[in-house]
Amino acid sequence: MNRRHFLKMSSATAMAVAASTMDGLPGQAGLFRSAQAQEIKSFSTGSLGATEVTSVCEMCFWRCPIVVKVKEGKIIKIEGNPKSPVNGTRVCARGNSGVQLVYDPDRVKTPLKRVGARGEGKWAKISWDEAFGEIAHNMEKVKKKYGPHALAYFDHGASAEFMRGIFKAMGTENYTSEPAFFQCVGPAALAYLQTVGYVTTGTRQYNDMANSKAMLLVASHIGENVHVSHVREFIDGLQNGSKLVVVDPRYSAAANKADIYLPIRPGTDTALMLAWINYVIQNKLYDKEFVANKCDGFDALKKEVNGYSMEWAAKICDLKIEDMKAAIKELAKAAPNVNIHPGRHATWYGKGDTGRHQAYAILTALFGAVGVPGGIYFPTSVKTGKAECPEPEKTEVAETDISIKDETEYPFSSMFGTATRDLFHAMLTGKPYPVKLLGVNGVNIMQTLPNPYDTMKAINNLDFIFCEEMMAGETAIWSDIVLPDSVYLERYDGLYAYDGLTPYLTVRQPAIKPLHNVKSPYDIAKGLAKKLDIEGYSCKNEQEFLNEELKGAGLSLDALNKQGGLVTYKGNPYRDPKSLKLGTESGKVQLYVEAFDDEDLDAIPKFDPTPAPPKGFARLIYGRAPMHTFSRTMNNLWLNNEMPENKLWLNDKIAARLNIMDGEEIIMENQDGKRSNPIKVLVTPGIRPDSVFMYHGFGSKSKHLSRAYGRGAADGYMMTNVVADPFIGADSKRTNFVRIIKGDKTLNIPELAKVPSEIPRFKSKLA
Amino acid sequence: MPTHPFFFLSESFSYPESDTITAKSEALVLLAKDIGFQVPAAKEMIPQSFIDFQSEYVRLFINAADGIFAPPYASIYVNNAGILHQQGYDDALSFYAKAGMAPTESEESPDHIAHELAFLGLLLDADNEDILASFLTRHLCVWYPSFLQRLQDAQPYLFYSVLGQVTDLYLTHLHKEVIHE
Ligand code: SF4
Repeated sequence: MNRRHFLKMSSATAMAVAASTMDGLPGQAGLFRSAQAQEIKSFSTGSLGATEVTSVCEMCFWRCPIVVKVKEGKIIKIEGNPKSPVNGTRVCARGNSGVQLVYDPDRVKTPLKRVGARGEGKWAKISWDEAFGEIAHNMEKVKKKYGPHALAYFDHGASAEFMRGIFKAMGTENYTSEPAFFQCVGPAALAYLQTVGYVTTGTRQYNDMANSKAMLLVASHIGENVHVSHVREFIDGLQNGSKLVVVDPRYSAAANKADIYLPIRPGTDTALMLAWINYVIQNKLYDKEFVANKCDGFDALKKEVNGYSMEWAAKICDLKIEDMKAAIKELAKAAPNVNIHPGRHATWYGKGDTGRHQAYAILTALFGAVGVPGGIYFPTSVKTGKAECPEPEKTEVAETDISIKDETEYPFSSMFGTATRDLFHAMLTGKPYPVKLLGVNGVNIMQTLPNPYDTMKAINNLDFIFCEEMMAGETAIWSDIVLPDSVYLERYDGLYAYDGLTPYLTVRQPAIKPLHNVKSPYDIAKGLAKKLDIEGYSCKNEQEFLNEELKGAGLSLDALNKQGGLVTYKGNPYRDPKSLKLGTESGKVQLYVEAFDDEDLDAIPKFDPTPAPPKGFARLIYGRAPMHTFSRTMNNLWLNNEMPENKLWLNDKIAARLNIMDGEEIIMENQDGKRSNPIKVLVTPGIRPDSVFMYHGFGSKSKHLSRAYGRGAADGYMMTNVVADPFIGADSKRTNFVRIIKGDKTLNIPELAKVPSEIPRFKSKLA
Repeated sequence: MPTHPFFFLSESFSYPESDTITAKSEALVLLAKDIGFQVPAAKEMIPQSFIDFQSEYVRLFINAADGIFAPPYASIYVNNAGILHQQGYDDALSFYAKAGMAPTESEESPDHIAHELAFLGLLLDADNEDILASFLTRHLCVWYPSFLQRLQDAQPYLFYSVLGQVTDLYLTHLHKEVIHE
């Protein structure tokens, strides 16, 4: 070593070095301890010889059972759990890429505190104790100053439940405002709940596509929105000879498999449905026995839909009458084994959304497709125990003179929580009372909500905002404190009891120890509860409450693991129509929903047209990409490689008129003059000339997601015209229009599909 | 008194918990001078506030403002893996095990630059020539230049730019000597 003169520091340097450290330099030596010297053979590649841990995927909310292959403490591969009756050994591209999520260098690695402006993303690292302390201090301060309801929670996904208890225990009525409901499935859920007495579509969908003889899909993204078992059931149905009718302004993956494809004018689906319902009634194509014995309100329905003729609908919907007739006959022929698919994402046009789904439910009932193979079926619940310990001991919503839920204009919103628009209105205006603190969990607040410009204003009105996040995305940038969540492969969660055709029970469990300085959602809630002196959360760890809950099913974690991590049960999805009793008040299908009438809303859907694009604009529609989940996965190395950016689908005839080539980069300008990031054009005949389409979730404005930043455009930033669904206040997403900026030229979109006079036009200052 | 600079460099690449930036900058200037390298004066390296200095560390090495610019982990660079816990991580663990050492429980991944520099310090203290040579040749000096490039591309505060360069110089010098021995 003596020869290494250069390593010999001068005494001045040595002194300066020694003085620069608080702990004394050998402190760094503490990063290691001595161990038995050993030669580690290079790790064999591949998953042969790996340990297998059964768990549940969370790359999307479908939650397929999985097997995680682990070698030397590292995740090597993810496959479907062969014991799973829904996905078997399969996972989708996203399910595979969970490996990338765990090891992504852009994960939030430690609690962070904002030290710059909101939205700037300038952070310092803090300890968990400091993070909990800051959040608890601010929750108490806001509660003291404005009352408990000034605290609000905005959440999505499996990890959000535990923290919800904290907000409940603080006494706020705003303990949930799930975007999954108010920004997505809400109108569909309400329509089915009121019509057939249960929610046929939500996180789970009780649709027996595999055993159907015909299927109707309206603007479905199935095949692009990949949920493994869902797609399998769809394909099984097709393989079994089921006839497929697809209604969509875009030639989607499902349309590609259709026997009859109806490229409908956007915003007119209810007109088609009502004309079909009328046609079915007039031509006596309905199930007379089922309607007579199991439906209320048939006469009122018959009267109400009487005026909706096929000729009228053909003009409104811009469809060929013979195709419309052929389609409804095909569906009727298959009854009762016909699947009128309820869809999931329902927040399209605001005012017609609940009615449109009511119409699907009505058509389902007219065909007697309730509780029969191929129709909508009934969930079979799996019996488990209930553990009290992962929750606070006491929760009580505080008394209040004014309640957001009472003041709301949307009579059915409070059945499901606080409507997002009511919550953000309170943040923006202080009415009916100020909301000053927001906890966000598992939601990209800028991309999930339309009109992010208002969202930014609302956030800037808050006294405090914190989030629980895995990735340093847009929510993190806007938060005062960021709490790093463990990835689903590093933690336990609740039990997963599947209540579909073949029910099963499984559990998420960690395949590896958490990386970095992250915590599980349960430990985060427990830690914060302690700071807030909230009693409860008494289980030592997740295993304790899981064992308690499994006891109710005659199982334990060990016993479950011995059985491959999953046990199946016998399903009871179908009913004898004679003994069918639904969850509605009368036990029958409500073709006429009195509860809607009581609130001066349409008891039977009517067609109330949504405005057509202003001259020079096309309607912006959007959908899901098979290799991405919402806006969550764009930074994932593998998935980014598969689809790094989105493109704007533009009709080929329009493109020719505007002289736009495939792959050319343009900017969109919406009806209010808001402009998008640059986006490439996909020139295709597969989209109507009055519409443009893009995949959702791209164009992140978070610079912290190194691969996703600025790639493609975000649809949300084009959504400044938002219409509320009058039933629950859900926010419309298909009521915005764009034209094209190419270079320095603004290009108006020529109108190739004539708009009938019955449909008003949206008024834009720019048109 | 410290006898070689690697524990210092390791600590400087760790999150600055306490405000020792002035002393660290001065030490860094002297270290550079010891091997005949001119760097800006220490006072130019001192940021406006300590919180700025901490947030700069977060930006560069934890969750950075233009995407994580310089993730300080071997795994990212070896084979261009781009994610954690790949070949570079396995290699680091193999070297530690061979030298009879194991990383202690830490929130940082053991292939973090701070770990690898501390390991180098321990090898020097233990006169463990064989492992030192292969660790530098086959591992640290393979990925460090790519890391340094990304660090400099991030236009970091002067302190981190100088730290990156001084570390590079010490590694290069040591590597050359090891090869020639
Ligand atoms: S559909 Fe894909 S991403 Fe969703 S849970 Fe299943 S495997 Fe995971």
